[in-house]
Amino acid sequence: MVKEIIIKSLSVSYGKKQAIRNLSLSVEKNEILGIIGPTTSGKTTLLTVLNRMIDTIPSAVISGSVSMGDIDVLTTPNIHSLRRSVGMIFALPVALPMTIRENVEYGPKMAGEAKGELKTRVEESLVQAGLWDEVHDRLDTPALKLSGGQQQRLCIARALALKPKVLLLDEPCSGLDPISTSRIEDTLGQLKNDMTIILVTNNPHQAARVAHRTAFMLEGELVELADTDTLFTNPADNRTKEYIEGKFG
Amino acid sequence: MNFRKQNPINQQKRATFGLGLITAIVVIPVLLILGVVFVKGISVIDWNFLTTEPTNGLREGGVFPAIVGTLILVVGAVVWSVPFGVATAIYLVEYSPRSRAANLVRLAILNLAGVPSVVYGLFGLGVFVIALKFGASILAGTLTLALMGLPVIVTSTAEALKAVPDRFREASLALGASKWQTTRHVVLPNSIQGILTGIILEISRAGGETAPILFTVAAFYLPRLPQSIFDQVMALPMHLFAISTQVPNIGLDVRYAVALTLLFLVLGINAVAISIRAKIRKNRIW
Amino acid sequence: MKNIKLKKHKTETFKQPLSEKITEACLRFAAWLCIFFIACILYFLVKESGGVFFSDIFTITGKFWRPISEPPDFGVWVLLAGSLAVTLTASLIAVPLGICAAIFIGELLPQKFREFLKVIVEFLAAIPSVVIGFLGMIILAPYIKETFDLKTGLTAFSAALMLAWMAMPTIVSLTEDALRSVPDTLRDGALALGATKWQMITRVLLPTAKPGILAAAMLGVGRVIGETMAVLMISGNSARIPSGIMEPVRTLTATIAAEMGETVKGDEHYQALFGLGVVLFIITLLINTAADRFINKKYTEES
Repeated sequence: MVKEIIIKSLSVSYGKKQAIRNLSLSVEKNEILGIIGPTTSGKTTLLTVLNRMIDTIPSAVISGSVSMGDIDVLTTPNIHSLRRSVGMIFALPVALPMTIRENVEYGPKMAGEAKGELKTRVEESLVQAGLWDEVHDRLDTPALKLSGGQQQRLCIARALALKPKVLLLDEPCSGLDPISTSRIEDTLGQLKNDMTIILVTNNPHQAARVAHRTAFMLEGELVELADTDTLFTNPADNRTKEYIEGKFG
Repeated sequence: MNFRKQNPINQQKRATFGLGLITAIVVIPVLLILGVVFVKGISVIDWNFLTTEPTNGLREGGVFPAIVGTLILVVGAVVWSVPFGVATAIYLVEYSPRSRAANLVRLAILNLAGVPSVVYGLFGLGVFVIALKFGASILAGTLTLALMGLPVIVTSTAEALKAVPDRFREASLALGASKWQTTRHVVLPNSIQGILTGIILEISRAGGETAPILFTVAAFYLPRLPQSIFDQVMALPMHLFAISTQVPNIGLDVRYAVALTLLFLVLGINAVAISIRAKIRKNRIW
Repeated sequence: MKNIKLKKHKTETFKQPLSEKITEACLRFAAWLCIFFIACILYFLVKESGGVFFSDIFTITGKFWRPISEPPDFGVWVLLAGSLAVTLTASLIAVPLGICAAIFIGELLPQKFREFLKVIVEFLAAIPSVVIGFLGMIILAPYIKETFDLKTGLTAFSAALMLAWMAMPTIVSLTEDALRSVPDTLRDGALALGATKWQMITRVLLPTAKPGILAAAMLGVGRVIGETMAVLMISGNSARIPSGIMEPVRTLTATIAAEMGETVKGDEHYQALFGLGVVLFIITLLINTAADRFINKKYTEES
């Protein structure tokens, strides 16, 4: 299997707090990798390293190496093009304060895409995200008026408009109802054919439903990484077992 | 049931009443001032008053040149101060909120804001009028007023920028937009009304100030309109000051009328700013 | 494995080197201009005051300000005393009233009246000082003269009254800000324990907001000291150390405004007036820096 992302001995700390300790893992192309673990396990930090959003936190100190294809993620100067090829969906839907169309266009437009391209790109992305049917007749209305589930799918469409190689999702369904959640999970299943997906989730069941392999992180460490079925039915580490059984979390 | 339980409630009632009384004392003079000036000055104000020049050494005629002068000064002040002020605020909020340079700039703004207006007048006199040889002129006056208004613009723009939630910036950056693109396409369009409010407030302040223009531009009696930026102008605040203290035998109602004109202008502009601000709050979708 | 401490500006400005760098440079330039301006003001004031601070005629403790006598006397103390008399009296009125009004408007008034009152307070702030000076001359001064049976109504007290109301909006709005920034958790906590609103205000809100309120008071005082036109028009014009506040005085600000027109660039009087400017600048600098410390102290304590 081709490895899309290779992380070696990654450590991240904010001031005195150690968020990630000596973490190594690789993500395979076109897989959905689930990451589960309690709140302070460092899952979100890991994502922000992958698209260099961690740059916005000046106190962060990072060591180790992360490579994506032939890009050295931690030292590349082209962070804007990195962020375009690594899309990110946040936990709470953040539709930009503009129209639906402008939201989806935003990424490509800032990247300098030709105007003619934009219209088709918008439609393609909304279809891929499963939102086209609901909004195709009101593309020029404010995006913030959409429901939570619709806004989150809009955020997915927005990221897809940049045709990313990797899609990072940080607990994307945490604020959503079950129907929206399952729609997004279906979408992820279809998207994996075109890109690699990392899904951080607070809900182990979601990982069980959607991910091919799942990683369990605890206190900044990678405890275990295995095929989803194996991890959930026969975890190698006791801590994994206890987390899945709900003994802590 | 319990005498002790009654006491705090009564205490609160008495406190509320007392504080309400004090608030009335604070607030009623405003209404009195507006009322008195209006009642005593309105009789003199007519179309003639507002559109003709003063004659007979300010004793007769209208205040047209003073109105025009005030408007010119105010526009000039905005032209000089807004670009610098907005740019500074953008730098402070979006680019380096925590650096040492930013703290220095913030301190500088704070102190600029506290400098008495007469010291600005002094500075304007020394630098613009004399050292740079602009003479008492629109140029010198507007530059002085602009300097005075700079802190107001910076502070209100910074506040408007900060009111845009961080999550929008994050979302934009995560989509590969650069810092400037984020500022220009996400932050600024959503703070423009707040910025405008600050500018309008600066306008109203600049229009009412006397000390900074006393020696840098204001003319005592200049019935014609200015021809260039090196000319002096009359201005309403200066006019009111002159006819109150320098020129005897001007009818009291005329003086009230000038005060009323100035009040109309200044408070009118202020009211515009306040209503824009209220509209922003009402229409905010996030 | 190298330790990579990511520096924001090094990586962020690399991608679109030219346009991003230019934009950031322009913005930084504008910001530094502000520092430049304030330094400029101080520099110029000092320069134009010439050596007056080192001469015998310009003294901080001098009791006489007689610019036209031969040799002239430029005693700053008499003017400082005038400024102090007016400022202290005005502050004694404005600070308590302003704080009380802020508590009432911010905490006790029903929401629908709050906006209206805040607008009125803003209007008060917007009234030009020359208008207030004018009304003071025409209405207040004669009234004070009659009521207190004085030789003239143009006194430190009259000026203090006007200035107090001019400073109140600053004190009211900054105090309101200070009260509002007390976290809801503290308020709700007190109320949940059964305290009345007033008890919550006096026992939780005010003590917590004390630094912010202090800063508000200081900035109000700073506003009073720096006021020129209203003072010029009502405080009388007697450069004598007052024995009470019911007498005419001269303040630092009024002196500059009144006498600037009569001087010639470079002569002693001119330099002396710039010297006064330096004194004023330093006073307001101190007040503002102190107030800023208090506002910041409040924020660091909260975090």
